[in-house]
Amino acid sequence: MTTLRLLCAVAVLVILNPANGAPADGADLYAQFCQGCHNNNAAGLQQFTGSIEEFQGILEGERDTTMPDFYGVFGPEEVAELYRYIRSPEPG
Amino acid sequence: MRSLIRQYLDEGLSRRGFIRELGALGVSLASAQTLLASLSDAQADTLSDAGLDESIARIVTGNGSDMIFETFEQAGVKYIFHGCGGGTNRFFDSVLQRPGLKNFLATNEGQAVAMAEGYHIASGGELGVAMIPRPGLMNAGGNIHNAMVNRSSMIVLTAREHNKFSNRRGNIELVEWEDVLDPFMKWGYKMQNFGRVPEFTRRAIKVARTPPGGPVFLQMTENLYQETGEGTILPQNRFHVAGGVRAKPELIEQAARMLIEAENPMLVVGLEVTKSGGQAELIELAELLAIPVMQGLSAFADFPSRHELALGWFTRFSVYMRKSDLMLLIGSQMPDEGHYVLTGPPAENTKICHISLEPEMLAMAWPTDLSIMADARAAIVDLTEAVKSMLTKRRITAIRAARHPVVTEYIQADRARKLKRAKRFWDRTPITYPRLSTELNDLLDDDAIIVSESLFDVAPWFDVGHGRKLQIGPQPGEVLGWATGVALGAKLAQPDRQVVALSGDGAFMFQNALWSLSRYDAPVLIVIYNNKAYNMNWAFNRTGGGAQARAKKDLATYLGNPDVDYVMWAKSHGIDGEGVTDPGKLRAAIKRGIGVVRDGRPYLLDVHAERWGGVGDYTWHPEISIAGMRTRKV
Ligand code: HEC
Ligand SMILES: Cc1ncc(C[n+]2csc(CCOP(=O)(O)OP(=O)(O)O)c2C)c(N)n1
Ligand SMILES: [Mg+2]
Repeated sequence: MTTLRLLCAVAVLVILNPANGAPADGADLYAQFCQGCHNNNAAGLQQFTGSIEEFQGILEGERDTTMPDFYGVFGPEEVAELYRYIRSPEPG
Repeated sequence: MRSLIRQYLDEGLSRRGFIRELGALGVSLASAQTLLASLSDAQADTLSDAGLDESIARIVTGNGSDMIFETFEQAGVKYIFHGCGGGTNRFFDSVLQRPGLKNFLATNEGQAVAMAEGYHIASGGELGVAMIPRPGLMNAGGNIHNAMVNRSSMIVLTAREHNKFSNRRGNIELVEWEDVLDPFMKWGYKMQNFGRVPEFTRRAIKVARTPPGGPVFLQMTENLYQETGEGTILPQNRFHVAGGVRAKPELIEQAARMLIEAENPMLVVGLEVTKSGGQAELIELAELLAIPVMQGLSAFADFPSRHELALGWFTRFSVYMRKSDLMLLIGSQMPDEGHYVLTGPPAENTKICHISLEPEMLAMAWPTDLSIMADARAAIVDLTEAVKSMLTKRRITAIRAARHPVVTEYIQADRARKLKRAKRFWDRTPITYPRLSTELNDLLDDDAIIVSESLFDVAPWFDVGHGRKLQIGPQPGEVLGWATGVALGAKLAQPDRQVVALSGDGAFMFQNALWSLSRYDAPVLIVIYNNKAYNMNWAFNRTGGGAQARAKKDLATYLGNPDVDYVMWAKSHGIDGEGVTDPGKLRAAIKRGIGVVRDGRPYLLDVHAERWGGVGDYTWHPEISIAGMRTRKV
């Protein structure tokens, strides 16, 4: 029940946000949300070889790390884009 | 040249002396005389006490130091926190003769400043006074900086050598150190003229107290100890500058309209809310329209951490930072990326309305839709009234009813998820930060004062804010070596409230207040989150990749060798304590600590805590032995 309500809460926020129509771009998202800690070109994530489910779990704070909790911040497409990006970051 | 002119104006230098010193600087006699002529006009403008209303003036006799302390006393100062030496010792002659004053010795000047700041904050705004010998000014510098960032009202009193010898030591020896610290000071003055000591002391107090507050230094030359005479002491309340500056009504109306029209507004609040006394009013504003509130950079819980609308500590990585269409900052700096890893501005199309008393904080680096210079409390009250006057009661109720469940359910679920995550590791040894913090929060009094430093992500586990526990720290100024000194000052200000000082092991080693805590019988519970590391630095170093991360070798952050026995350290100061390794025994240990504190003595808990951030396994450190580098046993 709580999960359902939470999904509603997140959904309401997502729906209300006018920017949400823009297509997700892994490099942009990475630069905005991850680069500060993991460096350019995902340098700090080279050793990560986990699956997309595991990746999603990390973003949602399921792992025992002090990485900030991105719960509800990204939609599924954005998660996929980020996952794609950290595995093959464009040089630059 | 500037200092020569000031000496001359303050009558610390004769006309002849002035011309001679200028000559030594290469200024011709004719130019020096022209300069003198223009300066006599300036002299005529200086305030003379002679014209003041006698009914409010009190004439006292004494030396320059007496004038300072007489002025302090009539301004309500009761406590002086200090180091020892460097020309300040004769100040104590004046303290001794004034039974209303008590002095507290710190064995490191940084702690004297921390004590003064703790006293200022916990007393609700009384002036802190730190008396710092000049060789100790640099030691004090870090905590002066912390006090400046917190806008804490404080006088830093120093003394320097007799005028006869000034500036003769060359530029590396204790010369003008106050000037070096100038960027961390709100104002400062070097007093050379006996007749003007009360005036400048008053002015220093006024500047330190006027919002936004800050440390102000006041220096006296030693020759003023030798001069005695009459001084005019005036009541400080005649030099009081009230805060509470209100914004133009049309700006408030504009802000109110932005707030009403936003679909997903959020508030980011900072220390000006607490400083202006606007915490209760902030709760009312947030509740009026069910606006979620993030705690911005601050040493305080400006919004209660457990309130149903509290989003918690600022992080740019939150749904709200991404989705809000209005960010209303009140009394907080814009949490710019420059601050630390979790800060950063909102999404591009979020509107920004920023209210602060400090114009330089407004529209600093991020395009801002509406900047309002005002006192936080006044602006909150005016904004609340504006919203109420612009909408019908029914409309307000409708906005609140639509938003409230969305916001509160999100927050509840977010908290539940974090707690669930923490509970997975609840019984782990070494003890986790969330477990230790939660147990402390449960066992401490509801109105306890919690001073803390470093300890990333610990604050959210405490129930702090208006009507709850009082949180002081972690210090946004970041300079470590603060909490135990602050705790002493806080206990002095609030002897009838429980006070705890929380620090990481790294932070604790920067502190140096055990001697004072013991000497002055300060019943403070000291808790060390001892993970034998500068954890923060390793955690956020490792995430960036690089040679150290790849090799899983960190050169600079492991503290477990030697494995410091903090209990023994405390005991050597006459402070009892115990180590805690077993999470099952944590509550009993905290209760024992609380008991000892109730009985009137400090107590130290050395809690063996986890290394967080996925770095728990790491103990590698470079093997270096200087003894091993010897070729003979000397
Ligand atoms: C505030 C700093 C910070 C930010 C920002 C951040 N991370 Fe992390 N990240 C961490 C920390 C700390 C760890 C844990 C490191 C460890 O366990 O050694 C981590 C771990 C990870 C891991 C696991 C690495 C491994 O080798 O197992 C992944 C994947 C990851 N982060 C992805 C991301 C992505 C994607 C973003 C942006 C959406 C991001 N991080 C943003 C701090 C951060
Ligand atoms: C005077 C000073 N020196 C260095 C730093 C940089 N610094 C920030 S956090 C930190 C480590 C703190 O370690 P600890 O108190 O043990 O907390 P932990 O990170 O282990 O939780 C250091 C060295 C600082 N803030 N202040
Ligand atoms: Mg530590």
